[in-house]
Amino acid sequence: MTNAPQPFGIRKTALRKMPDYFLGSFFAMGCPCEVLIESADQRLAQRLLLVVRDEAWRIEAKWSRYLKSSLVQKINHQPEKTHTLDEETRAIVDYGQTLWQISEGRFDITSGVYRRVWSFDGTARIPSEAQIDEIRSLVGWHQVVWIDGSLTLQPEMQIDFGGLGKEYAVDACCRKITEHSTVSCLVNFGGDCAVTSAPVHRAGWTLGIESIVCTGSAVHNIELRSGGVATSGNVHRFVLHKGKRLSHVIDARTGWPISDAPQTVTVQSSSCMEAGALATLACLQGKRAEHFLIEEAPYWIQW
Amino acid sequence: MQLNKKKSIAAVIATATASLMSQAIAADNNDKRWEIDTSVLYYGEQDDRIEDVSFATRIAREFEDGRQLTFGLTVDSLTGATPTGAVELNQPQTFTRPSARGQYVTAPGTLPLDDSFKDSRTAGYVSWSQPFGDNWAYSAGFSFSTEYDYQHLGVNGSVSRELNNNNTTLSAGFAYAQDEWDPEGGVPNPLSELAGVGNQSNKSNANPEKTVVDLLFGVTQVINERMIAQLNYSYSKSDDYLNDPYKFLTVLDTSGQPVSGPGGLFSYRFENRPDERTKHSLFAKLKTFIGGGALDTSYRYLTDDWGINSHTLDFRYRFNLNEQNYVEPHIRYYVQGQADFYMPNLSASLPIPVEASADYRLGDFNATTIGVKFGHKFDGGSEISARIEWYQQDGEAKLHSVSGSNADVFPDLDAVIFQLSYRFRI
Repeated sequence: MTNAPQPFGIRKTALRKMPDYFLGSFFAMGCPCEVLIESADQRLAQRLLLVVRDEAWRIEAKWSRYLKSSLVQKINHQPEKTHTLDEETRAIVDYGQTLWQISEGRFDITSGVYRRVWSFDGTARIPSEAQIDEIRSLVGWHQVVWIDGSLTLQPEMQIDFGGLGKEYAVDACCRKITEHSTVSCLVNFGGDCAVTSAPVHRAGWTLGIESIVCTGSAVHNIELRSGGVATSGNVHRFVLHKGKRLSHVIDARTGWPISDAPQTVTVQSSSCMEAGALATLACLQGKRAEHFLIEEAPYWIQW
Repeated sequence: MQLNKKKSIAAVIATATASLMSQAIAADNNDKRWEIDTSVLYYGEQDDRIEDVSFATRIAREFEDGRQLTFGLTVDSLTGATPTGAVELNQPQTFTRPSARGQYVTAPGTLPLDDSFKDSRTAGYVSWSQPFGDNWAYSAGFSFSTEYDYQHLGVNGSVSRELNNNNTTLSAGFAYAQDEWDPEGGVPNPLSELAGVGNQSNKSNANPEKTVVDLLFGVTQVINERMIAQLNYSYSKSDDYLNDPYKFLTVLDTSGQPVSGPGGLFSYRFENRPDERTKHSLFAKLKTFIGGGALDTSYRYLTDDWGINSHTLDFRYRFNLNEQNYVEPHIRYYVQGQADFYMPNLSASLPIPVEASADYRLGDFNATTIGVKFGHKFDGGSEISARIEWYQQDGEAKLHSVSGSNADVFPDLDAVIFQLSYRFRI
């Protein structure tokens, strides 16, 4: 009766009753994850929480670059082998390719290897030009063979879906919820969010954009009724170089941080995925970030 | 695409996102929901004792919201010989077959085995499980099996309750079974003597029944991300005809020699067991993720009012060799104390006891299983595995009321188990 095999990696999942909604929380993809459910039905809330959690864990298990058994590790383990990808992974690789094209190579799903020399821990550890040069040869979507769902990298190259996977998971979870219920939910994975539908008992789900100056306080509140919000950039990750704070946003073409990039760019759009893509591309424009975003979508930039 | 055509960028991203999400929906709808497990198992005992080849299929279909239908079918083919309960003697022994239509002779110094053992068995079950209410789930099922001389029908049900955000599961279950014997040659009168060919005066044509009620209460607790503990208590009560109609005991005098019985045979008496048996068992299992693999450790204690106490200790360690392959060594140790009425033989000089059985499965013994399983996962999600195990049963039994005899007459058993399984989804 309880002999069903249970997966490992079980993390505490909690559901709390709030004044007029349920707050479900769990941990996935390296960040706290929440789902806010506009309902008084605890049973429903519990069910939706588990739906969201299982979907998030499914995507994490498949695409995390940290999990041993993930598809991404499998590819990175044997980069020069031709891997035939499943439909979902094909779709996100295609998406990464599109962003690579429209960012003219600044965004690149093969750029994760720069992490070997850049550690954004607030110290002044700057890699040498030679170190970066060495890594740079391992980066570049143009070196990849990507034909009809089959991916072949060059030796030692790697891919990851950082900057895509979490946003994708938020939207995927929202879609999963709508398969089960029509109640309004806000899915929030470490600040990247989307709603399933407009809430009934309030104007919108209130999101605070966290201040980079004063952690924990909001510089702006968004009333989210549809679509998603995502933030690119991170307050707590930077390096100091010649007295200047270098952003953690690396230009995949050079291996160097984008100069004069905003500290954070928050974008609201019709989905979390779109918001995330716009925010990431804007950051990669450096000081032209704002110029890039004007007319594209509602945005909030902190320099 | 140029960045300065920025008007189009949001549109390009919107199109790409729409395409991504529709791909995801397509991939999701492709989820294969029929899970099919098939396996073939060979079980073989040493010295041409029992051999069993069995084919099993389990089919599970999962529906929305966790509802699940499972059914399974097993077909077994058993051949070989099984100990009758009679002890080996230093002279030939003649036995009448259960049908009373013939006899067979066991050579001196050989364990008497009934070699007419041949049967095929078909067993199946259907089970439905479904969540309900706040964090509850129930399951209900039906089982049957049929073989030449034995029929089983059973129903079962369980409820479980998730607590503490699914970190705790409480469950309670019951099962009721009604079985019926139709033994070859009829049902022997308890403790009556094995008769000669054509003589069925000590057998009746009744079809005796056996009923079994099982209750189970369990709790499963997630301790942390690397550990799950499970504790079950179960109660089982069997009633009515609990004998094995083919087993008997040799009657020996105090010098260890057989005495003569009817029809020119030695004296052998059919066994008799109590018509009621109550078992209590406690089962504890700890699943831990350790050293890169999953270790299952379990212990079961069982005690019953027949006087049998048993302990089972079981270890399995599943270790992934790489993405596709895993290996799972398995060790199991079992020890039991004999039933109060177990005796390898009856004594000619003592009154016949009310209950007696020489069935080795009720004696003092221990058993060790050592095995290993190899599994390979294919890219599409199907999995093939092969398991091989050695089973060794070692017991001890001294002849009852025979002076000067210290020999161990327990029929030890060695067996090998080989299983090949394939699991896939459609």
